[in-house]
Amino acid sequence: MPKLGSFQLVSSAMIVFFILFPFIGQAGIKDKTEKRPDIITIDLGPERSQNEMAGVTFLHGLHTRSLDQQCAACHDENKGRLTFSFIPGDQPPSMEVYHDKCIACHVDKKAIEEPSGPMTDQCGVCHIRNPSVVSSGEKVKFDKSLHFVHVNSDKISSGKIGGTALEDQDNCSACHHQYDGAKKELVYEKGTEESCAYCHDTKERVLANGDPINGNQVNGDRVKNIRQASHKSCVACHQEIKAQNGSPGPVLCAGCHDSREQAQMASARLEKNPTIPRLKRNQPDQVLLTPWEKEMKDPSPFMPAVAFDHKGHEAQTQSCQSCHHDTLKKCSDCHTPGGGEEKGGFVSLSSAMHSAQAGQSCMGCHKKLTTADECAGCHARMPVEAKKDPATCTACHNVQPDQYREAQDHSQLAAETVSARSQEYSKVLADKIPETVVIEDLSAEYEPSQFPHGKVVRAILEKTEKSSLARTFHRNQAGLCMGCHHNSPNSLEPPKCGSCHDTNYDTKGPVSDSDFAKPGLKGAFHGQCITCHQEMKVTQVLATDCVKCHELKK
Amino acid sequence: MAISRRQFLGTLGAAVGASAPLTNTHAAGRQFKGYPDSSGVLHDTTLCIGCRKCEEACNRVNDLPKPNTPFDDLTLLDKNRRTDAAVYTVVNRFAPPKKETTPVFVKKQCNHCLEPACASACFVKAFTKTPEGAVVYDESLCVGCRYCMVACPFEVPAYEYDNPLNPKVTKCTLCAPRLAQGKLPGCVESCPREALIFGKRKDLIKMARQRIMARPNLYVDHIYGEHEMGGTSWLYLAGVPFGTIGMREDLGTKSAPELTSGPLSAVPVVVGLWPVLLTGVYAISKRKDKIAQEEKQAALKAARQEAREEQAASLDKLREKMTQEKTAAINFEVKKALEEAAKGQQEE
Repeated sequence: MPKLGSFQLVSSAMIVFFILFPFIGQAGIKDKTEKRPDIITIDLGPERSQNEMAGVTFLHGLHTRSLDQQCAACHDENKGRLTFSFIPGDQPPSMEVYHDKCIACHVDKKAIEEPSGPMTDQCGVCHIRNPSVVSSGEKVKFDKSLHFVHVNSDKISSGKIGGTALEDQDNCSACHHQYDGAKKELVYEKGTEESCAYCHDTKERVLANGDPINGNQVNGDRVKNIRQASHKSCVACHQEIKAQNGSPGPVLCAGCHDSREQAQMASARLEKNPTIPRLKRNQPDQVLLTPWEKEMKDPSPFMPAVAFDHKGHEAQTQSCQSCHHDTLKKCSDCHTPGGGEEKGGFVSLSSAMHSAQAGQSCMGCHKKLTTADECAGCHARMPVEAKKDPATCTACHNVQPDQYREAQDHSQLAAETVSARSQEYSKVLADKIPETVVIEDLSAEYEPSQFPHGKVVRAILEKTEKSSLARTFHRNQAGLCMGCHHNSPNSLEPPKCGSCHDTNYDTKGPVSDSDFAKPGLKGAFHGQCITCHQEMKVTQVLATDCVKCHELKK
Repeated sequence: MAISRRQFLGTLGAAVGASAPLTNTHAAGRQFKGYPDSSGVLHDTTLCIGCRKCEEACNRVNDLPKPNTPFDDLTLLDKNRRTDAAVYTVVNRFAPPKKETTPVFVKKQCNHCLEPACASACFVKAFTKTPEGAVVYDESLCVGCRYCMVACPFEVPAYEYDNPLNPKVTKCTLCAPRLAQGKLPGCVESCPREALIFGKRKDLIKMARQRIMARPNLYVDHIYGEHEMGGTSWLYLAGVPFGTIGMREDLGTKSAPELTSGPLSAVPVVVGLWPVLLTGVYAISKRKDKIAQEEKQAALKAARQEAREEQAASLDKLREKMTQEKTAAINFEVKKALEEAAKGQQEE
């Protein structure tokens, strides 16, 4: 064998080293990305090659700070209001405009020896392919308390948009408007306000005649995207109030878009206005939701109508969009009983109300609310598509078609039904509830369990009475017993658990489909107690603390 | 001896020829879907509370040595544990998923594969998959090579390293002896929560599907063990991705024997055919060498012969010449003597 030279020795040692420690040096790399809410990415379309410069990660906050919040240094004014597009006028965004405006300013700043940004020869300072900062910007959560702050403000002047002054005590016309295609201007009509997103999409829209929202004589007119529209309305107004030395809403990015500031301001608002007055948009107090078309002459083959407490739901939700989509129209305007309408997304009225998955449907929202600790004890392990007990339908569907036909005033019928319902709440007498139940059907390793039945029932009843949703849907308190005593007729003397649950599976295991869903008696006992404790966060009784419920046999 | 180009190509051709049958082995398409009606256990991890009752029962019914820490000491769950010679099953705790407070508990034991890697790796057939579902071990056959421990993708079989005289491989038996007596496996019987359910594997799969369908919000839409490593008798349901609760998701759906059958089926070919081929290649090249050698010898001989003949010819010529010269010299001498004799006669 020939003698190895020193080069061969060193190189083979290195190969062995890299095989043994392939990831050396990589462990120390940490995530150094900084998160900030004020990032605007300037990117003029898709990159075509590696030779092309990457987009610019523009830190807006840095510029507002160093320019001392003089917006006009970059933004132009239009009709007395700031425009929030960097590019002036109708110019298309181009590299030349950005380079001219940005670099010119940097040069000027440097000339007067102020802190300045990168110059022409420093491409890579602005154009960074993998920026070390990422956006933490959140969408603005315009809930009803924030809405009320704007309604209640004496600094907002009405009717600025549209040119003519309007008699509007509630500031609505300061933000809400419609587009009049004939006059080519924004107009305001009381009582028809919609959400911003109804017209302003995430992208700029070019209208065509016959547009479902804006109608005729709009061909070619443009609707700003929601970002431009909201900045133009919100930030410009805040700036104006600031100029008048008032105390404005946020004028910096973080004020609206930083999650921490959002939360702080929300809690401050809640402290100031614990109860929010209702919105004034001529919405009904109570309304009948009918599963049939209005012109239906004989509604008898349909489900009874629902007396819906609109006012009650307003108090329980954070914004109209909790139920309505971008528009505040009636549900049945788009979701027709048959569901064959594009405007309703081909979702029928029945699905729109009952879908367990949709956040805006009645049952979807109610289902979500049952994940709260107070409800989860019983509701958490209920199948998502629970067995439909016909009795549960009547909890909402409580206005018979005949009543509907005979009634002169439907809103009065709705109001009466809602108030009658809120009074039906039947309690279970305390002496009907056994205080202690001895569970002894399966006693082997442990003594029988002295189950504090009365204590558990009282705790559940107490939690239920606190919630208006639970009070409405558990109007008969005896129904709450069904949380544990399930799948048997509602009764104050339910059958023993062992009536259905076997003492144990034998080696054959579960054989029939009914056994699949049904645990044995041991699993049933422990399942009911432990699931409930876990879901309701009852930390005093740990699942593994066996002797807490039954003592060890001696 | 250096390898000639011809030899190298010959060997290469033989190697390719021998490996050609390998590509056909998968085409056989064997489809073993497990014994019909075999039993298994469904472990619903969303129900497990981590009480370790199953560990205790396992220890009791298998007469395993008592551990140092009692079974109601749950601090053991702080560490991620694995099975060993005296512990056939362990419960491990995993951090709760986001927004949840209840941790996830997972019981670990032999999964009783439908086509076990351990049995496939064992060359003395110490492991057997029984039609009832259990993978059982016969210590009387075991030679202690521990290939089974290497082969198991779930790292389950353990070895009695501290038994110097007759060490055994140990693992969960699915309580095969108890099942034969009509009793449930110890762990299943003792689980207070019925997080372990014993039954026919096909029923358990149906049951698991029903659970997922009824509560899609609570379960990950996957039955672990239905197809992993060709399917296992032990099946799992979980509310979080299986990878986050210590279960390998990279195993694929092929059983260990299926994965190894291709290369292993080549062994008879290699063992049987290669010597013949290689010997043939050797013989051919050897024969070529021999012929070349003979030709060389013949050529050498011929050349030598020629040289010899040439030499002989020149020698003859020389000899002839010398003979001529000798004759000429004799003739001259004779002539000279005759002349002198004639001269003398004249003088007399």
